[in-house]
Amino acid sequence: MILFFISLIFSVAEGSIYQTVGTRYKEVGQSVVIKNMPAYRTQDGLGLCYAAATTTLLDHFYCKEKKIDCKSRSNDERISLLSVAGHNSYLGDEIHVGGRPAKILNNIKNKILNNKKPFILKEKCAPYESLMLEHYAYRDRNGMAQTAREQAAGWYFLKNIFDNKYKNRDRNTLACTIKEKLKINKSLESIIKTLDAFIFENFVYQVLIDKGCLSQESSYIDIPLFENKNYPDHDKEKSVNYTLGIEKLNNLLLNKIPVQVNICANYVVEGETAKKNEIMGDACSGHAVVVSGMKKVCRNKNDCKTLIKIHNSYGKDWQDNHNEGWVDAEPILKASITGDFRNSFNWIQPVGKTLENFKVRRKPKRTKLKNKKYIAPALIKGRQCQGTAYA
Amino acid sequence: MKFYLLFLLLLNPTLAKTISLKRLVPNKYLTVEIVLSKGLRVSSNCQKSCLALIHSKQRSLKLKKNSIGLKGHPASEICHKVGGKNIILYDDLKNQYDYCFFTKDQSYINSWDLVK
Repeated sequence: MILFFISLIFSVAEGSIYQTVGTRYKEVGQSVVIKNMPAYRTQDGLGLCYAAATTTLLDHFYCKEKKIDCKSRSNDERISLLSVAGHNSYLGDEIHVGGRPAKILNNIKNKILNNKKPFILKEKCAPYESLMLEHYAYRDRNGMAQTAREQAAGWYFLKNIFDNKYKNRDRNTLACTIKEKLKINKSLESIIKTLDAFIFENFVYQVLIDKGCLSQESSYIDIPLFENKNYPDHDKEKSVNYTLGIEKLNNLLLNKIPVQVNICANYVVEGETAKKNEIMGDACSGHAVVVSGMKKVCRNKNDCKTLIKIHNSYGKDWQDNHNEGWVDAEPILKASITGDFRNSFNWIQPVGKTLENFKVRRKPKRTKLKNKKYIAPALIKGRQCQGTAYA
Repeated sequence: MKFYLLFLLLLNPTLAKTISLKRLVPNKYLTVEIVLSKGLRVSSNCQKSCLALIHSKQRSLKLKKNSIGLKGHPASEICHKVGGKNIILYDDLKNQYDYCFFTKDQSYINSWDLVK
């Protein structure tokens, strides 16, 4: 019976790649934690983790460059996640479920470079809550009654409107339904215009983003020009492993740069147990998080771990349930670097800034002496200079 | 006896710490009082019985493969499975929290409490 419960505990622990450590592990050495990170977000039931992680990077960069306290801003003044998601496609103005942070950062940077407004709006112009509808009943293409009890019924609501827009010729009624259901502050005329969109993702963008905001300077975020970088560069770095990954991450954090990390976060929860996650292949469920800290903890001399502080898009409760986001770095980085991802790490930095290279202190090689005491070579050399040797 | 009394005290939701969170409804914020009841974070209208507490007993931990990632997070999915609506609440520092909301009796339960 006892063995059964023990196996249960381990199987649950193995199921998630977010592994916290117990209180027996004590912090050793210096930790690095980036300050002034923005408040925690939740992506809720939508596959917009990529946008949430990118928004966190941009929010932090903006606060740092403008020297403002990120948490002192009202919610309306924060960067709109939906607005950032709209930069996932090259042409822009489309909101997709699933995307790539590197692509968004590149698109935004290019728009700033070309002296175009990047159209990064404040939350008040594109509130995330717009998509959080009540359960929504509708008829599908075959006329069958359906209920969108799935997450983010707002998404399904819009999908159904879009798919059936040619059947219902009364565009005014459709626009009224959208306005009423999503409770958006837009004129009926502008909602009617959105029905002309050719692609669903563009339709979603047009409905949710208040274009009227684009003409008001106080409604968008004036992000300074940045350089977007990534690691590993698959054209140059052919073999990257956990050790190299952790060194890179540590170096970026020491330069006070939060890092967006792509991971395979899939896990299977069945009843009370969980199976070990399958990192590679089709089972990889892509997820994006931000890392904002690193520290080393040890239970004893032979049992040490590197922890990283994850800034996840699962809300504040997830952070609280996972030791404020401090989780074992190894499964995360292995799920990142060994996963099928190009550019596992993404970050942004001011233009022309050269990063300091903080070399990781490695333990000096120890020399075996006759009396079985181990002394670092550097120490032996020092003592020898003074004419004293260990024996 | 002392332990029994302490146990009763801990179970009493009225003595538990109340947290005020805010919910964004068009153009305004509503305050939602959250209390600890039977180890679960629920809205203060759940002192005795509410849909949130009833559904917490039927919580389903069975998630499909690939159920996270592109589809949102697991707490949100479970909330919708038990018939609630996952909504976002805010604290004073603008951190976001996932709460499962039941329209019928206007009760809330922390969505992650359904996953555990």
